[in-house]
Amino acid sequence: MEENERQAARPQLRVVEAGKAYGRFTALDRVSFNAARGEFISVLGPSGCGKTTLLRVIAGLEPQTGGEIHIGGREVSRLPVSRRNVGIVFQSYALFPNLTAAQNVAYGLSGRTMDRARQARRVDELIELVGLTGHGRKYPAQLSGGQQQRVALARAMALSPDLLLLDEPLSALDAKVRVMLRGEIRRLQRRLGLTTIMVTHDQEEALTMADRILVMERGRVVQDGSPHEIYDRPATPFVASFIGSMNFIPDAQCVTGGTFRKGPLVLSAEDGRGLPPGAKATVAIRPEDVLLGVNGEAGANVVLGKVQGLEYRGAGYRLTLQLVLYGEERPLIEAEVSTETLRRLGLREDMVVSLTLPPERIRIYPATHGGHA
Amino acid sequence: MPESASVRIAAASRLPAAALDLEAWTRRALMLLVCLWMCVVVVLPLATLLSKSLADADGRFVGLDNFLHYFQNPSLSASLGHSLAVSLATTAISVSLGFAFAYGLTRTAIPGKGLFKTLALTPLFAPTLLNGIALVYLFGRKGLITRGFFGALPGLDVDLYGPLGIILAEAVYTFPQAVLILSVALGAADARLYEAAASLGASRLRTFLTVTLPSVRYGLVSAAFVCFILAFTDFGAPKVVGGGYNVLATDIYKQVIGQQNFVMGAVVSVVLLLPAVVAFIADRLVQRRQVALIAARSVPLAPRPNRLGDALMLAFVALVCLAITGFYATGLFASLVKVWPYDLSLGLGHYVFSGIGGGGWAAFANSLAMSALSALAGTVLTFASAYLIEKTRGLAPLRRSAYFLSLLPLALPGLVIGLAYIFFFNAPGWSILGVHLPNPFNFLYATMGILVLANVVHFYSVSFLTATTALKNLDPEFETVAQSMGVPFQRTFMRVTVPLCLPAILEIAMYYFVNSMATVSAVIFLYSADIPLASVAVANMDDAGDIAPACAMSMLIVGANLCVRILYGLATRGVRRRTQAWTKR
Ligand SMILES: Nc1ncnc2c1ncn2[C@@H]1O[C@H](COP(=O)(O)OP(=O)(O)OP(=O)(O)O)[C@@H](O)[C@H]1O
Ligand SMILES: [Mg+2]
Repeated sequence: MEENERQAARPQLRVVEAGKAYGRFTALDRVSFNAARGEFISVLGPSGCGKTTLLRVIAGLEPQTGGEIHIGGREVSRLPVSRRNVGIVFQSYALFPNLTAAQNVAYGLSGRTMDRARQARRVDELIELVGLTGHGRKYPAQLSGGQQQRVALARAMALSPDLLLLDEPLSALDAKVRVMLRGEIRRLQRRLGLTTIMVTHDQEEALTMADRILVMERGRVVQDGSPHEIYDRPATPFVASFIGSMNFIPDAQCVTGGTFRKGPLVLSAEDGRGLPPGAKATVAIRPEDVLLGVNGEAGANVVLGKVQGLEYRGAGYRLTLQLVLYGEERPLIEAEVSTETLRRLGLREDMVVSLTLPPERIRIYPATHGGHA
Repeated sequence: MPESASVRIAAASRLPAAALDLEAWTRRALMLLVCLWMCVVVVLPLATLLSKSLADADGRFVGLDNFLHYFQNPSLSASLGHSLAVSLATTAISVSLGFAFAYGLTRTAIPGKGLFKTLALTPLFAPTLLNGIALVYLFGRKGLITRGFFGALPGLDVDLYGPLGIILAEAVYTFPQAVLILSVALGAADARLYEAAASLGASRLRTFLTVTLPSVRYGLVSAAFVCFILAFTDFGAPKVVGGGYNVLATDIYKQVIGQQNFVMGAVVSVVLLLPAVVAFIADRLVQRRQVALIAARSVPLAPRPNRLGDALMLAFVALVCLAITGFYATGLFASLVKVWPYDLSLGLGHYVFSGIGGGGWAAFANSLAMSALSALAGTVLTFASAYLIEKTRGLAPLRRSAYFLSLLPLALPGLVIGLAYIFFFNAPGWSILGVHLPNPFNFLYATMGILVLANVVHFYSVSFLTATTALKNLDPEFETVAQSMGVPFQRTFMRVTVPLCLPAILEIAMYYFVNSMATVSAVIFLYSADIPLASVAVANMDDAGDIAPACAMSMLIVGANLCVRILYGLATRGVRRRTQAWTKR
C-alpha cells in the first residue's frame, strides 16, 4: 500500500495540461495523465485526433505550446529529444538500411564511454532479448517485417530509456505477425519494467496489450482507464461507439430514478439511478449484452422485436431487430448471437423474438453529453 | 501493477547535457552560413552587376538611361531579336526530335536502347565551341559536305555562318537535355490509362492525343524551357559560327573584351538575364504541379512489339545517333588530319600546340585541375547545404530562403556570372554612407579560386536538386532516431546519409567535372594569363584561325570527360554492388 502510494506520488511520466497548437488549429487540448513505473499505456483514437502529436510532444520532437512534461521526476518540457532519455519506435521503423541489425542496435552506444567489448556484449544481449540471435549480421532488407520491428525495438531499448514510445509499431505487419508480436512486446515490456506509451488506432491491440487506455477525440483525452473500464463503462457515446459497437436509443426521458421511457418503451437501468425525473438521456447497450428468447419471456426490460437482418460474422451472427411497439417509434436494435444460439432458437428473418436488455448492462448518457456518432 | 524488472540492463552513460544544445545551435549557424554564402556568391555579385547597368562609366547613377540607349540603338538591340529567334527555332527542333527519340526509347520495343541513349547523350560531354567547329568542318567553305566528301559526291553549299549555323549547333547541344527530360516524362506512364483507352475502343491516334500528350505536357513544357534557356544564353556556338549575326551572348563578349565597355556589357547581361529569369520562374511553377502528378500510384507501362512501328522508330533513332556520331567523328577526324582538305594523312600534329596561342597542354592541365577542384568543392557544398535545408526541423523561413537562393543560379547564364564576378571581386571596396569598406574577397581575383567558385555557382542548382531528391528519398525519421539516442547529427550524416546517397553524390561530382571542363562562358572573363584554360584556348585559337588545334583541344576535353564518365560508371557499379549487399536476400 505504502509502496503504491509512493509510486502514485512520483509517476514515471507526468503530462500536465500539455497543449499543442498549429497556428489556430488545436492539435492537443490540455492533455493530462500519469503513467506509473512499468505501466503500459495505449493511446487510442480515430485518425487525426492527435495521438502522434501527443507522442511527439512527450518525446520532445514537437515543442508543446502549453503545459509540462515530467519524465522520471524531471521536468523535461524544454529539453530536446536527446536529453529526455526516451526510446522511440517509429511506424516505419527507420532502420538504417546500410547498417546490419547489430550495427543498428549499437548505433546509440558507440561513441560513448563504453569499451568495445562491453558494447558488443550489450548488443548481443539486446539481440537475444528480442529473439533475433543469429540474425545480427543481416541487413534490414534481409529481415522480415516482424524481425525489422524487433530490431527497431532493440535499438530503442539500447540506452535503457526511462520511457519507451511506440507509434503504431505493428501497423505495417500482417495480421498473424501482429498478434504474435503483441504478446512478445508485452512480455518484454513486463520483464524489463519499461514504462511504455503506445499509439494505435487498433482497438483490439489496445484492449489486449495495455494496462491502461487513453481514448482521444479531437485533441482531448475523453477517457482514461483500464481496458475493462473502457469497454464496460465507456464514458461517452463517442468512446462507446469507437470501441466495440453500441446500440443507442436517444431522447429517452427519466421517469423515476433508474427508469427511462421512450415512447411506449420503458426500461430500467442501474446506471441511471442518480438522474432526476424528467432528465433527457440516451440509453445504450452493447449488442452482445442483448439476450434473445423465443419462449415468450416476460418481465422487466423485455420487448418484442422482429428480425430484419442476419449478418454472418464468422464466429456468430449480428442481428438487426425492429422493436415491436405501439405508436410511431420503432427503434432498431442490434444483437450479437453465437451460431449455436441461432441454430437452437431457429432464428430467421421476419421472426418475432423477445429481447432482454439486462438493467445492469445498460449505459445511460445524460443529454448534456451531446449526441453520439 | 507490472512486476519489477527481472532483467537489469546496464545503464549506458549519456552525452553531457551541454554538448547537445550545441547541436541545435550548430545547425542554425550552419544554415545561416549557407544563406550567407549564397548571398556572397550570388546575390551581391548580381546586385553589383545591376548597379553597374544603372550607372555611367564613372559610376554615377543614371537610372534607365543605358537601357534607353541600348533599345534606341538598332545595331545593339537587333541582337535581342536574333537571340530570341535562334533560341525558339532551336527549342522547336530539339523538343520535337527529342520527343520522338525519347518515345522510341521508352514506348517502343526497339533493340539497343542503352546504346542509343548513350550515343544521344554524347553532346553533354562536349564544349559548344566544338559543335560550331564540327559544323565548320561539315558545312564550312571547305567542309566535308560543302565539298561533297572531297569531290566524291556533288557538294551542298549552305550559308552556315549566321542563324543556320547557330541553330544547328544549339540543336545538337540541347537535344540530349530534351531527351533526358522527356524520357523521364514518357517513362512515367500509367498502363491503366492505356488499358482503359483500349477498352473504350480508342484509335492509336486518339489514344496518343488524349492520353500520351496530356500525361507528358509538364515534361514538354519543362524541356522547352530548358532548351530555350540553354540556347538563349550559350556563347560557344555563336562565337564560332555566328558570323555577322550578333546575338546577346556574343555582344556581351564584344562589349567587354573588344571595346572594354563594361557598362554596356552589364546592360546586355541584364537583357540576357531577364528572359532566363522568366523562363526559370515559369519552369519552377510547372514543376511544382508535376510533383503531384507523379506522386499518384501508377502501373508501369510495358511497351508491346509492333513490327512496322518499331522498324520505323528504329530507323529514326539509328539515324539520329548516326548523325550525332558522324558529327563528332568529323571533329575527331579533322583534328587528326594534317592539312584539311588537302593532305588527309593522319597524325597527332595538331595536338602539339607548339607556336600557337591559348596555352596548349598547360591549359588542358589547368582545366583538369580546375574541374577536379570544382567537382570536389561543388559536391561537398551542394550536398551539405541540401542536407541542412532538407533535414533540419523548424527554422522554416531560413530554410525557404536558403532553398530559393540555391535554385537561383539556375537562371544565371555563365557570361552573367563571369561579368558579375569581375565587378564584385575586382572591386577594391565600397563606400557605404561615407565609410570605406575594403573588399574582403578581393584576394580571389585572377586566381584559380575564382574560377572554381564561378563553376561551383554556375552548376550549383542542378546539383542541389539532385542532392535534394536523393535526400527526400531517405526516411525522415533517421535524424529523429539518431537524435533520440543522443548521437550527434554529423555522425549520422557521415555514417548513414552519405553512404545511402553515394550514387547521387557521384553523379553530382561527375556533373560538376564534365561541365567545368566544357564551359567557356563562365570562365572567359575570369581566367588570367598565367592560368590559361582549355575551353578558353579553344575560343582563342578559333579566333586566331587555328581551327585544327582548336578542334584538337576540344577533343582532349571530350576525351577527359568520357574518361570521367567511365570512371563514374565503374564507381557506381561498385557502389551498387555494395548496395546490393544491403538488399540481397
Ligand atoms: N505540422 C502540422 N501542421 C498543421 N497541422 C498538423 C501538423 N501535424 C499534425 N497536424 C494536425 O494535427 C492533428 C493531429 O495529427 P496527428 O498526426 O497527431 O493525428 P493522429 O491521431 O496520429 O492520426 P493518425 O491515426 O492518422 O496517425 C491532425 O488534424 C493534423 O492535421
Ligand atoms: Mg499518427
